[in-house]
Amino acid sequence: MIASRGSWVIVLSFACALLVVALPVPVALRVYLPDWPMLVLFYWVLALPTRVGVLTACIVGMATDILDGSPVGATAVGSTLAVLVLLVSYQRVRQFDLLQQSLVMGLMVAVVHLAEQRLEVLLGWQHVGTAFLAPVIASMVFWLPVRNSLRALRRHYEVQ
Amino acid sequence: MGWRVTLAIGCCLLILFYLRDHELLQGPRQFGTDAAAMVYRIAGAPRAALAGAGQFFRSHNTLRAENARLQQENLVLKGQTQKLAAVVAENGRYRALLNSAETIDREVMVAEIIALTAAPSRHELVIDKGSEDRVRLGQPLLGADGLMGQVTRVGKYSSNALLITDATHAVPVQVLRSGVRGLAEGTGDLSRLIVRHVAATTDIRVGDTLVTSGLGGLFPAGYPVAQVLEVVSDPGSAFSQVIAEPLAPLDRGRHVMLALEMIPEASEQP
Repeated sequence: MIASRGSWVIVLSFACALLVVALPVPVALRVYLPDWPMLVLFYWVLALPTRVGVLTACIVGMATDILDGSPVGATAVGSTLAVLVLLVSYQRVRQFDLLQQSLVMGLMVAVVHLAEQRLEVLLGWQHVGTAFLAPVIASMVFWLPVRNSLRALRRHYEVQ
Repeated sequence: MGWRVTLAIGCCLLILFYLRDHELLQGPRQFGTDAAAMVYRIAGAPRAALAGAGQFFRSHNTLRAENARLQQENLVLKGQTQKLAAVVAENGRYRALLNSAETIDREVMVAEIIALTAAPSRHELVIDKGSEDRVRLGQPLLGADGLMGQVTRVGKYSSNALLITDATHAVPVQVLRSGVRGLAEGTGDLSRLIVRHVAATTDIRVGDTLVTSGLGGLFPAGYPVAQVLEVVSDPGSAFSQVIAEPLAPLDRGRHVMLALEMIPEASEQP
């Protein structure tokens, strides 16, 4: 068992992702933004599946719920399910090339938002059209920079 | 791993479906609202600082011009307030004649908008007043020109308010000119409200002002809400749809007003 190191890098990256979500962005530009916390979460799950798992996913999901005003737990269910899928298949996803990985990430973000939307509709919230899936495409595009910068951070601080 | 997944999803579903409005989570919910407001405040700090610096470095002339303009405006407003006092007194006498309840004079409190929440499909504001400042759930949020929304979550030092254009929001309205009543629903578009199921023969025209009707007891009667942009009537159907534009600038401005001491008005039937 390798001693875990650099937990603060992981915590800090989640904090930064949540801060970026809260940045004041004009309403018209919001559909072009990726789902930052989920991308960061998926990176850490792929990189360190023994340390970052479903419980982290649940906590991060709840934090985003609290932040964007969704009913607490809706996104958390989605992120837990998505991370579960990643945990089962991380060895394969790691071998994928960039395009395939981006597609997987898009799919996972879609899983998160679909679960969130279904639960919210169940609770009586209304969604207009498919706007809730807007972050999927952007998340696919932004997977490369997120992955590369987090990988650089992980190697620099030797997070294990 | 199995027990972790069960625990995580079980917790989420418990919070979602059973504890959502439970008083057991009252404290954590308040804390969550305040923590989220703090995150929005930190994220918005650079922009706020920039705006502050811009204010600081404005020229003497600009400030003097603005001061002169504000003084004039103040004078005009003071004059109008005097007239208003007379009208209020007169109105009170008429109400007495009609045996109808007196409207309660309402105080307002000014709150600053911290941010618009991040979810793209939702229109929710974070404001910097909470239960410590007597904000409570359901309190109407007013802009300078009209109704903006209502408070949906209250923290100790901050709260969240749903805008009238959110797809889940609806407000009982009345046409100012003809008194026709309806329900203005949000559409998810910041500049559109929709009044459905208006009988095709109803007297609503483009340009009419919609005000709150006071029905439902949540919003006080008489606050302007929106202006009618379009009346869509299909000759084949019994109902027409009214599309209206909110009067309050929902995506601009930094301050909102919260109406205090709301008491639902009694029926105004003579």
